[in-house]
Amino acid sequence: MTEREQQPASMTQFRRLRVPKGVVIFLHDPKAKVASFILLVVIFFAAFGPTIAPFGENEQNLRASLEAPSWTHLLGTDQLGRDILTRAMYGSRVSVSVGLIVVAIAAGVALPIGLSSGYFGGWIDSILMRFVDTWISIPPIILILAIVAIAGTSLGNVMLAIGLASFPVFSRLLRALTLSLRAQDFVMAARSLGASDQRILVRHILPNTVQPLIVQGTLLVGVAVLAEAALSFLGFGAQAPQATWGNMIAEGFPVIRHSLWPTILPGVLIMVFVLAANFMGDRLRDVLDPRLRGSL
Amino acid sequence: MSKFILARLIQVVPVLILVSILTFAGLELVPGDPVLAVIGPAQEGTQLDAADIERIKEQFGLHGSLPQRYVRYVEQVVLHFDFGTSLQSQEPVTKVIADRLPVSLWLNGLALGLSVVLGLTLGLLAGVRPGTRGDLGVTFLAVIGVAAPSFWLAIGLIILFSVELGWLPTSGWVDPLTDPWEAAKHLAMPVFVLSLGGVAVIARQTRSSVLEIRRQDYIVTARAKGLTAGAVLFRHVLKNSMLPVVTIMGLQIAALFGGSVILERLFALPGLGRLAFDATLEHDFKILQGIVFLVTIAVVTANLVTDIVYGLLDPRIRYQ
Repeated sequence: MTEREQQPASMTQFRRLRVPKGVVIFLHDPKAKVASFILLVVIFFAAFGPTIAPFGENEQNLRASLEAPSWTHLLGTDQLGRDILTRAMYGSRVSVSVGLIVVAIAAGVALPIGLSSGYFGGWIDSILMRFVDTWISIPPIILILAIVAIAGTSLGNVMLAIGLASFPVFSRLLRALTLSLRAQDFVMAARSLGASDQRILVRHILPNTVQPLIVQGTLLVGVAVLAEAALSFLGFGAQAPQATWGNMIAEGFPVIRHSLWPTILPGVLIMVFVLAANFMGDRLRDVLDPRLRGSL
Repeated sequence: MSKFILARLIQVVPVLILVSILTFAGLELVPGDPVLAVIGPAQEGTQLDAADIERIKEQFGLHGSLPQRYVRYVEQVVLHFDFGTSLQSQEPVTKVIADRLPVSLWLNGLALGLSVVLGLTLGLLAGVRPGTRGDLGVTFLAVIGVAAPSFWLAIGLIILFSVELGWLPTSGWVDPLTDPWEAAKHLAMPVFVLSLGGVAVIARQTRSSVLEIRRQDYIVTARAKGLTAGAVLFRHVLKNSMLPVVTIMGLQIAALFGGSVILERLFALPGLGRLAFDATLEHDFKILQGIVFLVTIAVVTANLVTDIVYGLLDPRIRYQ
């Protein structure tokens, strides 16, 4: 038996995943290429929007209100004469932040729950999973509204609420991964060497859950961006005049009979961004974790 | 089978207990004095003496220690189906919710029905002829249904069918039992948009199920027996493809309630979603408590029924 064959399945698997072959497959996939390009463009605008934007976020020119796209205003203007391209760039900052922060909150809440549930099992698992089952039964938007009603209306609270509403998916994933990892030989070996539960969880189990978590996190980005846009549209997220894609649709709606541009463009941006995040998640899942292919 | 149903019923009990704790804790988590939370921002600054505060606490069930308040809350909800009084309208929460329930039932019920019918049909068409234009069209629709914001699609439909063509009213509610034709016109757009997410998920699931099932030996056997293509499709492929759809239907109920919050607001439909939206704006925590409790119980019940139906349809589930 070679040394490679003697290693635990998960270790060889994860080692194999680290080889550039997976990256090569990913980079040769047309959907992955398009999704990566779109996400990079949005992240670029989110990072450098204020520097490269042709106008100010709330720079008004009432004499140029509701203009169609032109060389001066590449994506037209809204009812206050604000440049839609500029506001879309600023809006991308909010969407990217929402995507990242919501994933961080959801993963942060889910980590202790999923790891403890899967590792310790027994009554801890029963209690934690019943809690997760209950939490998952509450429709997310209703739960988010309840949290916003308690915590107050702001973009930060909306991100917190979406994160809290989304953590059960991570918890279940982490529990399943931990359940399978704790039975592996390398965990047994660590335990027989006297490693504490905390050390086993943090040093041996947690690192092996990172890749599936990244996949799930990427898929959550799209959900989070859609939820934030809906809540901004309802008036619970970022407050006007801050530019978010949801706010832009809400502001464009009353003047839609005069100009479609302020409403159509932010919607297209949301859709394209969500599609790119979903495609990226699907492709990453195929490359990073073939075991889960098509099953989630 | 009765053992399976009993086991599933027992699993629901801790979930129900936790729902009651979570909904109760929600009101307790409101920052500051709960009395100030229940009298609302409109009356903040009003000078309240100790007697007023006691009276308000009595009225809204805020007196006593935390465990006492929880026990009283559970007693009221379980024994009397009483969720207290709305902080804004001062009407019983149960009555306010009951008034809005028919609108949500019509909207969500029709959207669920449309999701199933359209999703199954499109998924079947795509799965039977993979790689064709029809299949690509269904995949494209599924992708749009998942990625496009529902309120944005709804705005597009309003512009097309209400503003440009003038075929459908932009908003409002007509009871389908009073005037079915007008009600259909008012509900057409919100039901269609609300169903799109479900159509997308069911179509994708049905498509992959059909592709999988068509490769199974029993389909080859059925064809070899000389059954017609239609008989194979409806008696063997469709029947087995519907199993995962039953599970999705259960999950869709939570998603539908979520979507209806936005669409009821946009189309001015006086349902539970609109009530939740208004209650959030008005900080009417009692209404929110009632809605979260009832909607969660509805979702738990739907999942329970789904599991039992799945167990009835597929014996393998019962013996797991």
